Amino acid sequence: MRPEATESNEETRADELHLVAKCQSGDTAAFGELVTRYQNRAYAMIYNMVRNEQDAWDLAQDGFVKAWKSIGRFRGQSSFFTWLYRILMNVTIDWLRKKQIEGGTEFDDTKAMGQIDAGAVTAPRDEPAPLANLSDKEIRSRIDGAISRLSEEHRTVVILREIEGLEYQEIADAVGCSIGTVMSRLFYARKKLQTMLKDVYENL
Amino acid sequence: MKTFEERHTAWVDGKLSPAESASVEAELASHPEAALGKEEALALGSLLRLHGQAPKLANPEFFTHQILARIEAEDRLGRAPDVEKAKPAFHWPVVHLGWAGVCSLLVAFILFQMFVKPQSAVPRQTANVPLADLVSAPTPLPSSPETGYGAEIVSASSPDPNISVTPVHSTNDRVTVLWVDGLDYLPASYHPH
Repeated sequence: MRPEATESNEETRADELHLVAKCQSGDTAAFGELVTRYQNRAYAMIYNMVRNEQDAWDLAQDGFVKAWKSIGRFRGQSSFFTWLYRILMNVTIDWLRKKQIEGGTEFDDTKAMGQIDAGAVTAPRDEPAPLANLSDKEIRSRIDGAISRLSEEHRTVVILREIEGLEYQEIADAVGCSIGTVMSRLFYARKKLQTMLKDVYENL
Repeated sequence: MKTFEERHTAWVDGKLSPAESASVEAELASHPEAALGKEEALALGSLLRLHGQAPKLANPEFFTHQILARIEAEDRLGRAPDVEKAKPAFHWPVVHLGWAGVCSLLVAFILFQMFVKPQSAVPRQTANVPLADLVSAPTPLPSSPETGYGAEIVSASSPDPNISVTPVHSTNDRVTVLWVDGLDYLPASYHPH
């Protein structure tokens, strides 16, 4: 879901710029059209990051309202969705950071690599159940659980790469770090996800 | 030099040349525990793409409606969008403003040197000096090396509206006279030298 790649043609872009110009003169109906046009992509992008429908809804709302407040600064140097995408990304990353500070904990992959007490009465909460017939809903739940246990940095890069399909440079621009950092984070994020989801993808 | 992690990521994503790929694969052969293999990484990626996609936005009409309602509510509170910034009447970045300031100061300095400074070769005392202090001022002011004047009195005034004071000075005679009209008496503090 690349913002640049999805821009269809010049006509669409001209129409989009026309709508933006109307927004800049205070036309909320024009902004409503832009919201209708991009709300599904915006919501999906945020959902992929936060893995929760209600949070994704609220953050998408916040992102669009923020975009409305800042629309005067949009100068048409990129497509509207690319500009909107950065705002949504910032809103989401800020939220994830705040949430992590408030008590989120990152997945510790040493636990899943043999350091669990052999005499433990119950299996760890996130240890998978038998996987013979996992439904789509269960697989999604396992993926959500695994992604939500990654740190904000690891989660962001792996989502943007694996689900959104962004290139390293695009991820670096969105996150505000170097390509090397993106690649390094991807390595560790994939490794952690592999530990948590190995049984799922091996049984599909 | 890229780290092993960076090269491994590029290898998984197929961004390496055959030679670079062979190098990463050789490293993996000697440290299989260091990273996941390519097939596993690809399987993980396809799992995420197939089953990790977001669900559809429920009730999109309400989503739009809710945003517009929030915007209207915020507009009522006076937090309208930053419309003025879209078409500024005059927009200069900070660097340009800085240069403009420096140039203005330079021009002001040159004008000062050309028109103001020559006239102020003689130290001037332009002040609303109280008449009593002026008449009785016994302290000599520092003299100008060119003219020998202690000071040039440019103007003088009196706090009493019935008294007017006019300074008259003669360059040749090197003297300044204060012409005082309406002064009926000399201040008690006056002591001629």
